[in-house]
Amino acid sequence: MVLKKLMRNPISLLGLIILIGFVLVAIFAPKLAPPRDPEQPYMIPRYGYSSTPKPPVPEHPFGTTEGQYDIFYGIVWGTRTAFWVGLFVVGVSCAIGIIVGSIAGYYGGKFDEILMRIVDVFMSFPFLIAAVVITTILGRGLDKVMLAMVCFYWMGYARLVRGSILAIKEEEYILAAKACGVKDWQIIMKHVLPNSIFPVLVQASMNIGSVVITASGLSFLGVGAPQGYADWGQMISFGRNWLLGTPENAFAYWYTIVYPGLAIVLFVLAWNLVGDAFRDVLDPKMQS
Amino acid sequence: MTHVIQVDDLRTYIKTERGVVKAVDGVSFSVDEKEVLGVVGESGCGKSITALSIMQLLPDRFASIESGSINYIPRDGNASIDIARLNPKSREMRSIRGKEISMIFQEPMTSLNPVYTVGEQIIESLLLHEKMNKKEAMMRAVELLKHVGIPDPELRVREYPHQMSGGMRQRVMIAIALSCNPRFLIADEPTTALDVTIQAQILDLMKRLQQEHDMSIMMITHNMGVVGLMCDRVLVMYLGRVVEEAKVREIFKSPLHPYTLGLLNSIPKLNPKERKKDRLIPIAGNVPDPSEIVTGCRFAPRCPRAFDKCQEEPPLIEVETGHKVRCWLHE
Repeated sequence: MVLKKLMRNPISLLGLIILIGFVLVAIFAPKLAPPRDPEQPYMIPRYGYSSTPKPPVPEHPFGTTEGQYDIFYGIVWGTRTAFWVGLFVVGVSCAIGIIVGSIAGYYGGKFDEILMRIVDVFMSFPFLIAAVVITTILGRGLDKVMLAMVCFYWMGYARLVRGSILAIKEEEYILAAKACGVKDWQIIMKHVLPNSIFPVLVQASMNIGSVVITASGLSFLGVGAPQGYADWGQMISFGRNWLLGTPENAFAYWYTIVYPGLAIVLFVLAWNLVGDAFRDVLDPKMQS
Repeated sequence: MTHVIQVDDLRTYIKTERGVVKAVDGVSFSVDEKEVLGVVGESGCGKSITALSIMQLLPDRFASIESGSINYIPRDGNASIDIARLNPKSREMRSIRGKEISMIFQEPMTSLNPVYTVGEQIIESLLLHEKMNKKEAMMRAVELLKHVGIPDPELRVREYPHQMSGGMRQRVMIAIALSCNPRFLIADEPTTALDVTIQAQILDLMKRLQQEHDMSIMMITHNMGVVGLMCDRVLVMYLGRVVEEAKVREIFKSPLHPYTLGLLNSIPKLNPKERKKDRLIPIAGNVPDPSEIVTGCRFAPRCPRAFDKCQEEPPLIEVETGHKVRCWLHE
């Protein structure tokens, strides 16, 4: 039903196709790039220790980056990392945000006051610095990065949910539902949330892309995944020293940046397109 | 005649930034079995707040029942329940709402949830109160839609509210309100938002259903025409107080309170013999801000026949059996 509507719009169809492509890559990662050590499939295999990247050859279709990490392998397994980070961070922060936002919005009064001031406190931290501090305290690792991001991502959802609940709960159909004898929590779950969830879903699907960018950014800064972990951000950070190539050929090492960069751009783009289309598809007023 | 609901000295106050507003200030009335009681008055007279008090659906942060009782007498002759004493969120109150007392709202355009089909919304209270399974409830929903005069109910039950017109939606609202065979129905201006031809259809429908289901109705309106068509008895409210109470025939034949007279005079008359002048006579002024404290008769500042004694508040005087008025003119 929803899929059929997504397909009708060429732009959202493009987003969907790219997304399905990434899903397939993630699913078939072990076939596309068989891990050298099945125990640790996320560690990118190294083919030597020379720091100078080597251009694409049939065995390494995207070349090898600094430290001779295989770029193709990193991209393929990095897709799984991207999905995992994006879905986890957005899912968890969305859940926290929805719970906090609906309590604040529906009950109002003191609840609202207290919860929204907590939101303000969290919002007043500069995110990047706070994330760096958290990962410094907890130690390096993708899980810590995700934790840090959840800590500073849920407030947006809480605000969004609260705002739209404040508007929805004044609607007459909420009063009508109460007049039928429906319980409080059922009113929140069945009548208020479904009406206020669209902006959240749209925001969430778009955020999956931006979460991956932020995670990549943190990896780039060196507080993300451990060295050699299949993560797009880290792949770019490997290529950092080779951005400019050699004096004779400025694009000598293009493959170190272009492939991981392209992966990130396409991934974010796909989610944005799909998120945009969600808005039109999920609204029942647009149906029929 | 047995009562279905008996309200005694109900006081519902609203807290505002400018002080406490006595929205309902000592209102007493009762509704008999199978009776349609009209409640009329201009906007801001406390009609809707009275209705919401009976349903215990007042916005709890601003409004609350201060004193008085609302006794609901259940069908099977069980002891009466004082709704005013129940917690609005209690299970007991929830089992009364929708099952024993239902309510229809003014705006059919916004009273239905846009994300569910009308069928899903009708079965909600059936699943809640009648212990039906989903399939039975859906079949009952189709029956109900047919009952309220919606064509092709099997198809319509799967439609979303935005696919229906205002009149259709109000029919759906009535179907929802009737789904559990309530004993008492509160209709808060059910036809105000509809256009005139649809108004008549909806009123006919409500009258028919009231007789078929042996329901009592409290009909809130500011339209005297609706009162004449639907009601057995009328309660005229002004600024949180009952100013006149009478059988519907009495109200039209011999209205006693100057306010009732004013309401009747502001209806256009089609019959040229009845039409004394070409112009309608409106009631002077507006309903005053309810937060202002009025001493004496509340209608006195707008009353064409006010005199010295109106400085004092008149009691509700029973002029004839069943005809009460709060006015010194009829002492």
